[in-house]
Amino acid sequence: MNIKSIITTAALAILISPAIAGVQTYQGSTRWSTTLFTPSISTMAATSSYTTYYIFETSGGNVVDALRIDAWTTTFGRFYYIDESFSADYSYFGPFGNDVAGGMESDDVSAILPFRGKLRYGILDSFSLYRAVDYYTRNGNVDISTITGSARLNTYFSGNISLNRAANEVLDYLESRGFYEY
Amino acid sequence: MNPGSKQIALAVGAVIIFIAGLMWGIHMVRPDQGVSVAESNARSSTASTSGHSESFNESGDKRRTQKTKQTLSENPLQERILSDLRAAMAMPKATGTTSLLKALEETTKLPLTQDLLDDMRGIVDEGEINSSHFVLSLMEQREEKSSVDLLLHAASHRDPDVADRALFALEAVAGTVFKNREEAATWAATWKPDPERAKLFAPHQEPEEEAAATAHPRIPGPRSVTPKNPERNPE
Repeated sequence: MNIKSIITTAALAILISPAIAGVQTYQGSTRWSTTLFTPSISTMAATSSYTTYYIFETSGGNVVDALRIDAWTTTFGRFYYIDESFSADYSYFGPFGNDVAGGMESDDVSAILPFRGKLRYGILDSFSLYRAVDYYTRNGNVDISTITGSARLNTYFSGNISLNRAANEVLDYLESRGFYEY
Repeated sequence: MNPGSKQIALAVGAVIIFIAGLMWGIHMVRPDQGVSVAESNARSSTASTSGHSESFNESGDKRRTQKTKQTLSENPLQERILSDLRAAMAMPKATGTTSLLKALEETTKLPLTQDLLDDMRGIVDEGEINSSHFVLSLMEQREEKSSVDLLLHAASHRDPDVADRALFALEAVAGTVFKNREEAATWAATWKPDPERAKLFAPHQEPEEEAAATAHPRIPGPRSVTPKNPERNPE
């Protein structure tokens, strides 16, 4: 193998390396338990499960933008919700920095939701969202008691693309399966 | 007695002994089980008189019974959670869904045993939208062959809402998108759990304790993301 082919191979490897991929999309399930109550009138517990897409746009290893899309089905239809206020922060732990732990903030939820994940080839491969006691600050009638979940890197919606393009691909896919914006 | 008469007498005696033995054998064998009463009596008498008072099978059964009782008594948490789950499953749908969802969330503390898997499958097969989707979410989070098999089973559910939700869950585990259930089945046939992921998605541990034990503060992580619309999230 001559030097030219080595350089070409190295350049191609850098080009296709996941380390420079612009967007990673994670797909998983989340479950939210809430207590809905009107003082002196009624109290009701509700538990919901969602298919959730977490979309992280990264630059130089840093998360520069993020989006969360929840999809769920009811007896009235299939819906999705786009959380544009979603944010995430994490650090590396464990031997060789292969474990990740951090927190997420979802739309309207005031407290941090802790999660823990694994790195593979230098990028976050999967994570598990741990139980969190939380609450809505804007609505005194809703109390979120538990949020749990998990997600794995979905390569289908990931790549060296913009966050908007990845989000649009997820939405096109959801709409092709009969989901509409909530 | 001459030698010829002696041989005849011996032959007749042998025939009589043979016939007597045959008759005794027919009389003593129970036609329904093919086990001789003599053998059965020998077992019972041995059981009642001997210091080693059990036959192999009986002692085996006793050991199994003791083990089962021991397992249940040693796992009061498992016993309670499964008991609560089954009680919630038996409740009428109109009032029982909330209890069922709560009981299902508790099952994340247990390993996915065959008993638990059978209960989960029953809930999915019934097809009530909230509880069946909740089970699929729980199965997705388990990184096990049997949980993926259950998702694949649910992907051919009669209710398209359940089938599609199961396909979503399979896609999440696979990390890609499937055109249909058959494509997911092809993937599932060769899929094996990743031990690292299985550990990550195992029944809940105490994350704070584990994170503290393995923390490596010198390795920096990415900076946090500023919310796009902070006024929607007032503090």
